[in-house]
Amino acid sequence: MDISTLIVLVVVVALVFYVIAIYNKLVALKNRYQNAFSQIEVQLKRRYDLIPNLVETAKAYMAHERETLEAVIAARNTALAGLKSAAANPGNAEAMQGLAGAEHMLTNALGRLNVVMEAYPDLKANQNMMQLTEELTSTENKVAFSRQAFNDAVTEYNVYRQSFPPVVFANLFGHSLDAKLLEFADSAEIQQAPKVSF
Amino acid sequence: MNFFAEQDRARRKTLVLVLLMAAAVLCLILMTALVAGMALQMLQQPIDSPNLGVAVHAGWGGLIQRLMESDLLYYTSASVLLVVIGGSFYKMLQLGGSGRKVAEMLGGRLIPPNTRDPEEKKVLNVVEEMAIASGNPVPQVYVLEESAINAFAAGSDRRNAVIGITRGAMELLNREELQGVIAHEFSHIHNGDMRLNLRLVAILHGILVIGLIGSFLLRSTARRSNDKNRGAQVGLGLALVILGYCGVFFGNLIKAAVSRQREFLADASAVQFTRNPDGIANALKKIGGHSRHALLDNERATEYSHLYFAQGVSHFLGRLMATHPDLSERIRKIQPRWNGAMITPSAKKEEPAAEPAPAPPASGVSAEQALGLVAAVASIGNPQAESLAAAQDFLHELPQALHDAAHDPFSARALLFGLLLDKNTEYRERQRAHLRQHCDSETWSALEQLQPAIDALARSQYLPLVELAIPALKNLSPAQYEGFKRNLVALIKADEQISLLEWCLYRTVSANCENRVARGHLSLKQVSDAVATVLLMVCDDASTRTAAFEAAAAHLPQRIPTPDTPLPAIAQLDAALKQLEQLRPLEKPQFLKALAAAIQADGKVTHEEAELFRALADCLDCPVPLLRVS
Repeated sequence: MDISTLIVLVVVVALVFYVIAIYNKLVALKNRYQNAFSQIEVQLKRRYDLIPNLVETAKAYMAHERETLEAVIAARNTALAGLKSAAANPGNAEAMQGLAGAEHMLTNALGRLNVVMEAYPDLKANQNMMQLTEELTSTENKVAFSRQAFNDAVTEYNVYRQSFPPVVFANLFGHSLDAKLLEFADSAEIQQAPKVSF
Repeated sequence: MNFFAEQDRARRKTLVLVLLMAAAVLCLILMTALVAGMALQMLQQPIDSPNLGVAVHAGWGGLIQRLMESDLLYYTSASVLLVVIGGSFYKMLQLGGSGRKVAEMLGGRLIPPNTRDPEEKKVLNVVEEMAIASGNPVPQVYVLEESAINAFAAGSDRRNAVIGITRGAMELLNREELQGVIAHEFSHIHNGDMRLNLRLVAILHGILVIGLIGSFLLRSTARRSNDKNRGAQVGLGLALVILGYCGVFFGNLIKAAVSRQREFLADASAVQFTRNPDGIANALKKIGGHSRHALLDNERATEYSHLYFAQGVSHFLGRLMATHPDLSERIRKIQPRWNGAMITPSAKKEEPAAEPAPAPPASGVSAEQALGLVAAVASIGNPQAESLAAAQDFLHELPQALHDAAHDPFSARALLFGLLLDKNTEYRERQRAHLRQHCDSETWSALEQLQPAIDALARSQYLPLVELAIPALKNLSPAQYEGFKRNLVALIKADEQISLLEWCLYRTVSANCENRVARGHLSLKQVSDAVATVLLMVCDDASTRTAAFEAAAAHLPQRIPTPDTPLPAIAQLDAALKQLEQLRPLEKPQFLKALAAAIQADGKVTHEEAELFRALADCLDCPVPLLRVS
């Protein structure tokens, strides 16, 4: 064993450390976006909790709009189920798409409810209703914000995973797939009562 | 129990231990090299060579002499040394750094600050109280899904520390007992135990690697068919295994002994903090009565065994290798007249209204219970029960809307913006115009909603509220955080001057969210300019300067002549802070005492002086409890 072998040994050891560091960083970034999802979960759960209250208050005034109300409840339940499966597996393409789809349906159902509510000015003026819609809006803002943080974290993970040299080892270390961003359709326009023109 | 002396003692003890370990490693290296060298020599001779017989018959002495003359010994020593250092380094990288990594490796899940689960909220509230009371930034809390009752504190210093708690502990301990456990964990953070243990574990791991190589060699001989080399390889492998594991055995003994001692210290600190020995004693009793005690299931639990509240992994050598003292012994130290009965915990649903009833709140009662400046300096890192009461009062007096806003990343930003809005209407309009332009409408409406409550806050509530919001702000993504900081800076600059309050708020946020490390080797003599700048900031006018500098001189190594320069600009204060962050740890309390003396020289403590003191201490990594403003 001469000095050159020793140097080679040191270089090999350094490379091994580098590869270990790559592994650790992949794990850390993955954990980060999974934790970021929990923020979305908190806000979405709040949103789903508000909806039954909303429907109950509306029922008292809108006795004949059963279908619309039931559609809202059904959409809410689907969304809640979608959230549970997404929370178990954040970043998974199927789960994210499932959640996004369920949320889209829920926003549509709520939009239709809003349209129908236009015909019931008493309901719109009801204190409870105003408070609930206000809270609902504020929760939606928070959902959007936490979704942005989640997507940032997912992007960071994806970019690192695809860059060189991590891309060489990613498959080996069990990080073979990109994490999926969470995309909600823009809810703002749907919430507004559409202009009815004749 | 002096915070800084403890930290220093922990550091010095580490040095002694490191030296001991180094000596052990050196012996280990020499022996290993000798063994390896001999094995390699034997390998170089063919088995039927007459030389081998000659070598053996010449005795070990001759062999060793020949070895020493050859270069082989040096190369083997070098490679063994490399292996040990490499192993230690690897472990340091793995375990060190931010506490989040450890928590995640143990399978912990972050509790979001705005969680709505009542049990998680209870834990977060307890952690918050303790953090505010001891002057630490509120650490993030992770939950481990284990049924046993255990907790841990991980991280290399108080800014990136995290606290973990098992599901079992959350469900089975009541609020009082949780307080005891969390206080114990905070003591570990204060006493620098985490760093000490980290170094021990890392060094041990380096020695362990030798044993691992030995066992690898042994295993690979099974596949080898070459008889000639087999004997030597088996011999080498066996020797390495024996040496390695012997080293680890004795190393573990040392580590366990040190760890046990620190546990007693942490128990004692916790009792002092909560002034309630029953809390922590009952928690220990419940662990004793629990079917799984504190044992964790996770396969990686052993690596972090030194971090837990109670023995997290069982060892077949039991008492010798235990990182925690015996439960009964710990309980008896806290409650000398204990009857020996453990408590069998049951997961009964506790009444949700178990929040502590505050002392009758008159306006500013929290200010009354907060400590005076000198008392606060004395209790740095050694928080007292009065601070805990003051913290609980603060949290109770805080309007619920602001409390909720501080826990949500979205509205925490609005909260900070609101705190920075100027009293002067012209500047306020300018700031609001900027915000209206640069943040989205939702943040704007959140701000509008919170503004009345923020304006109604007492001045002494500002900084603690910011500290409360830190965990939520840490949940911002890097891009969101950058945008947030830009807005903060724009708000501060709107009135074309930076007030002390603005500086304190900004520095508290940035130091904590960016995990700035404040460690260095400068002495007070070397930073006397910076000290003078800071002292000038707390002098109201030229007439009080002399008195202030006189008072401060008692705690400084050399007199600083009273300067007659005008009040320093904030930029100079910033530069001074950068210098002070590099102070040697034992010089920091001297500096803080000097500053405290200067502040009190004029007989009163104003809000600005208290805020400056607290913000500076926070940036210097010294936890200062809530201060009383006279």
